[in-house]
Amino acid sequence: MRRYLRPAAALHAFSVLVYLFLLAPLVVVVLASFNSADFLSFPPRGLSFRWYVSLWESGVWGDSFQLSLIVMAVVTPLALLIGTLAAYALVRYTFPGKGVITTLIMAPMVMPQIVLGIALLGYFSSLGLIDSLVGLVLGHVVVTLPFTVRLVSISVHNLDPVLERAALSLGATPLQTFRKVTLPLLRPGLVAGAIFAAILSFGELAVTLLIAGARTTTLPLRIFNYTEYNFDPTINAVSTIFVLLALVLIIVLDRLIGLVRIK
Amino acid sequence: MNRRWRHRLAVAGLLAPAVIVLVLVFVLPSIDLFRLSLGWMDAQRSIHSDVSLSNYWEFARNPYYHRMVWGSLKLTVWVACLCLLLGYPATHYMIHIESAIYRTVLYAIVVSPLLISVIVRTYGWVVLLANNGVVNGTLHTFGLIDKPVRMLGTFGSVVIATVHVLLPFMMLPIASALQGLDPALERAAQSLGATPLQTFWRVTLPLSMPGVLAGTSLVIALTLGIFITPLLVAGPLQPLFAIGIYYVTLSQLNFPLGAALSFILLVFTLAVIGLVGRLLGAINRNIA
Amino acid sequence: MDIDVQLREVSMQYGSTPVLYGVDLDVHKGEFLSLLGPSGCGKTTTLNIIAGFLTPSRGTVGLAGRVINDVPPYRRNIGMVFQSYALFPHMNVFDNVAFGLKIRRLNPREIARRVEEVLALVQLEGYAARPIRELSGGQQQRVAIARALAIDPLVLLMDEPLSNLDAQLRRQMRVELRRLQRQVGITTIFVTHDQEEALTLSDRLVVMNKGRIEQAGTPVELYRKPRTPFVAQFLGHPNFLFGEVAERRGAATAVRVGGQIIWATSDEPLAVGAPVAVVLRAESATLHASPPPDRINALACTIDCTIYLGTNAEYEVRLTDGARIRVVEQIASGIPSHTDGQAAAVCWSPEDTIVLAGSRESLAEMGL
Repeated sequence: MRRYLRPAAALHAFSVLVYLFLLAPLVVVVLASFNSADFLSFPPRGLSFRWYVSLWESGVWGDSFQLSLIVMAVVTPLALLIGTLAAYALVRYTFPGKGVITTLIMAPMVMPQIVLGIALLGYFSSLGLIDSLVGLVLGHVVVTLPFTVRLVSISVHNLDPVLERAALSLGATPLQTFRKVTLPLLRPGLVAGAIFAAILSFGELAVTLLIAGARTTTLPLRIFNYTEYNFDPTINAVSTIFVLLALVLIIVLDRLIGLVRIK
Repeated sequence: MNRRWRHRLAVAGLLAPAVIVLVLVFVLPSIDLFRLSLGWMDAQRSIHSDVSLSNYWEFARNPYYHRMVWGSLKLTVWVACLCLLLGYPATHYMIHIESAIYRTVLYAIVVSPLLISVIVRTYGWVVLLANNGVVNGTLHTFGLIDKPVRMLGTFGSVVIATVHVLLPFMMLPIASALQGLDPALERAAQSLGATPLQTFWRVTLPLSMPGVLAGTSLVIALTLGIFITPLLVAGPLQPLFAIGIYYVTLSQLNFPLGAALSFILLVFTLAVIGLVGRLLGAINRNIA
Repeated sequence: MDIDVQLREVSMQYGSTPVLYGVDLDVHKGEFLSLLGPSGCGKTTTLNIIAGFLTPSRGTVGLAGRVINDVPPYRRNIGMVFQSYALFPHMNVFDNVAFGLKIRRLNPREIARRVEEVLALVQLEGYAARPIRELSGGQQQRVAIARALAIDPLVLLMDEPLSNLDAQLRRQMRVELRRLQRQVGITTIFVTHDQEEALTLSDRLVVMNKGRIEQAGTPVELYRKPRTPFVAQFLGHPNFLFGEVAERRGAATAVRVGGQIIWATSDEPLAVGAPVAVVLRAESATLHASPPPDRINALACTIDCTIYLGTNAEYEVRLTDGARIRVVEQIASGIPSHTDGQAAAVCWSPEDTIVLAGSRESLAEMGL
């Protein structure tokens, strides 16, 4: 019932331009990844998969890819578990200091990434965690935790406590209730939280830049190094993988839990 | 009594992992940061940790840092204004689209950049704006220019790339605010004689203010601390606060100074967020 | 008679789904007309077309004699009251009511006078400075009405305005609304799914179903002489007796129902043998312990269930062929005359029934 609010042609054109603007760099990179020439050129010289082949065969890119995946695989369950427990406590219960703890958990999101990076740099230095897997995991968990807490909180909020009470009244212990009633009903938040934690860890750069090193060059870090210092068109192929990943995840999120929830 | 203590234990148990992780990997490093900022580095590049405010003094005195602050503020104003000018209409347009599929596509375009690493988005701009990049290439192919136009390394390119990276952060809160409006409100205004423009000005815009403020505050906070994108698009010599911090710490290895600058940035960012939060609260009280 | 609103062959599609099929409607000056029907029947769509928020795929909309298909809603001079009231939350009562006046650039004194006048009309004097969130549901509703009336519109359109009120408030507001409309004399089109509301408030009633107008007329006309089974069923949930026409003597119609002959009246051209549904309202039937000799229609039945409602008793009776009928008896004494399990006879006079074409199957297909 919105025909009467038909946007003026100008608004229409302007908005379309904005959306094209949002797409531009991504589209360009994806197209460039199929460019057979080894320098940036537009229109592309020819169509080729050589950069993907190069990526597949490359040792260093493969190592970085593997490292990022490993970190992501460790960070995601950690951030999700810790975040879910905290989210449940924060939404369901009241207790003194609740505000402080909420602020504490959300704080890494509010802090400028460079500041967090520098802080961890100094701190990890003294602990010998620079250029270490453990350091990376810890840093990523801190960065992703606010997101998992927030996303799972939404689901906890939507979960009527009456359901848990019903289970208890039917004889289930709190643990059984949690397993059989609470967790399944939290699925949307858990899925969203897991996906966000995973993708944020996979693409994390700001903090990684400061605490990683030669032995822990994640994928985004390698792209950064290559962009800054030398040039390798394989970056286009790597970047395209990121774009494709995001596309797939958006579809998954939408199908699974209607995350793209505009009425 | 037993039950109450079990309850407290349960809550504590649920929160413990999060609190422990955050204290160890966030609170302690932050405190450490402050302590470090009170140290200083001598000409031989060794760090001293006796307490002094020399770093903060240095910041106050040295015009190099003033330029950085100024640069960051300039960037923030440009980026915030552009994000608002581009983001609001585009969001309004998206919300009012009839076709559900088209709307979902647009929403995906806004949300998906958040799932793509900032390095990829920034790199895309490098590809676009480089001397041998797409824009120059296209202009050249159409015979509009002879020599490549220098775009990377300029303030303009930093603005464009930063706007691109932060635009979703402006659009999503506004979308949320606009969606929360009763669609009948706009119809009511029109039934009373207000043209679409009048309806927007008198009803839609005032009621979407909370979203506008939330988005603006987010964009401002993020611009103040942004460094990867400007670094790649314009190099380490851009006068921006966060780049300065990065440079001082990793190139000059002056950790105490870097720590002090970081702390200043943190305080400033929190102040901005706090101020806008106050404003939001006042406005929300007026809108029921 | 002046016609304020005129719809001619208005059809509407959402995409490829038709929602309205050739609606013709005349609304007379000063009348209170209700659009009544179940959800999805097209009544709100019709209202929105009159208001200008929807453009019909076909047909013309006329306002005060002018075709206004291409006129945008903000130029139609209509007043609209929405189901959610749609009061502007960032303005107080005065600013809400004055909104249309400010748009029309009246001078401030005139605006203040008019707002005061219309607030007095809805009995909210002194509420001008209140913020919207401090008002109760009923008060918000009255502000919504005041706001629509303030601009002195040609027509008042109301989209289920009473739906969000609790039952008691609803009944109160109905009376209020009628009084208001009569006092101001404004042509009003009222959309509702509540038949009791429509019967109480309207000068004329339009029953809609699945995008079509089933019947239009006064409440009494529609209640006593429904022309389709849908209308009959929608207003009052009567009994349906299914059978075939046995004989016709003018308006009197003999219908064979379950092996017995009953007499009803019908103006419809029904052939002998045609399947029909006889509409018998529960309050038109009476129960007797044994069939009275002087009654034309007396069917033997057993009383299955008695529902005691204080002033009324409702009986569910079963006829010999298994059909069930509801009978409502008004009991002055407060004691029901009959009890469960009793054998009785259910009687009614032919003038109290209507015969409509249709069979049990065809009505079931319609969802009745």
